Amino acid sequence: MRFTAFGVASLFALCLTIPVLAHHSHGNYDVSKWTVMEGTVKQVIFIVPHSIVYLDVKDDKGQPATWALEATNPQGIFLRGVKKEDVQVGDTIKVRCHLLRDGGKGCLLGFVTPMHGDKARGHGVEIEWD
Amino acid sequence: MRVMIPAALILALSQPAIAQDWARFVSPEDGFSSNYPGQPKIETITYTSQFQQPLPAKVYRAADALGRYSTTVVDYRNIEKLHADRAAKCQAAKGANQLDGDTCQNDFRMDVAGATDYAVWNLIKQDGIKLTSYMFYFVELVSGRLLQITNADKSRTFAAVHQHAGRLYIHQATVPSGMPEPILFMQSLAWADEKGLAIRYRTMYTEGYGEWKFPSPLPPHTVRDLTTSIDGTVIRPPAR
Repeated sequence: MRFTAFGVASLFALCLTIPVLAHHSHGNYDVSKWTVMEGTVKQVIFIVPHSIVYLDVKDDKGQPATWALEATNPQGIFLRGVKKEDVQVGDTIKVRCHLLRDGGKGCLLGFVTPMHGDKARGHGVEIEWD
Repeated sequence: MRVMIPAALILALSQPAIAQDWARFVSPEDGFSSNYPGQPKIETITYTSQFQQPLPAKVYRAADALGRYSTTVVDYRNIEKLHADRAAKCQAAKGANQLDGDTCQNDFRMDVAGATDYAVWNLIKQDGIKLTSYMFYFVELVSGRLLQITNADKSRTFAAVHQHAGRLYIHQATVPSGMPEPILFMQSLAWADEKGLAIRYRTMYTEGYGEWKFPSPLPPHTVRDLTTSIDGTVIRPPAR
């Protein structure tokens, strides 16, 4: 089989023009806005098709609540250079995510920045978890 | 000897994991996979369709400290025969009023086409709930509906309803008030083939249709003048 440069370029262009849809709809999240939250990691579950981060966050009145943050699959996270030990229970992290439209305590990641002070575990480095 | 325990470890120990032992569960037999906290318990039930047909169904249930999770799989694949048999029996008896007419209509297509709506209706007709979100939804491009509900006791229910390959799926989770939303469970639903491999469509899948295109070519149809009756009889204006 022979591939011409034009053929390969056409295939590449086609791939760029076909919108890739996710595993599931994101219609219940407001993907037009980013929300920044900082809190303490309660649990991280690396699992297919979507990993999850449970994050304890204090609201404007200082009341704590646990949020469920949806991430991509483990492979998608690790391929970006994240290691399991980078975000652990008890760590402080900052996230950027898309809130559930109905005000529920759920958010679509987004980006995670460890704020635990350990540079060896990626302190201060924002990485995409979506 | 004094043992120094790092502060982070103390914090970790004082904040036990809230969701435990989540694992992937695959049912090639029922055509889906999902994450559950442990192995789900399977209950066989009879599901009654909108047009009162008893259908075989299974409910996969699990629970953890965060909430309750279930996937109900209803097998509609024999429903055409059930409706045909009912219609034939009705016609043999000449209908409920011994006159036949519409009372013996075969509602097979209605029952399949309305299965999602009927399942949604059963979720939202409960007293005291507030539907906080309702939308078109898809999983691996299989179309469906997603509902988010605040219940009368302030607990939260998320439910996704899909139809795929002759089955109806009601995937739902309820968490007590104050718990994080059940996203881990809800976003884990996927479709499985007979070998348990994940199915993903290239175009939107809607039960009863083939390739999804927009604008779509019209399905097979007839045309008629609106002055004719539904069975093609020409209705003529009365002679003056």
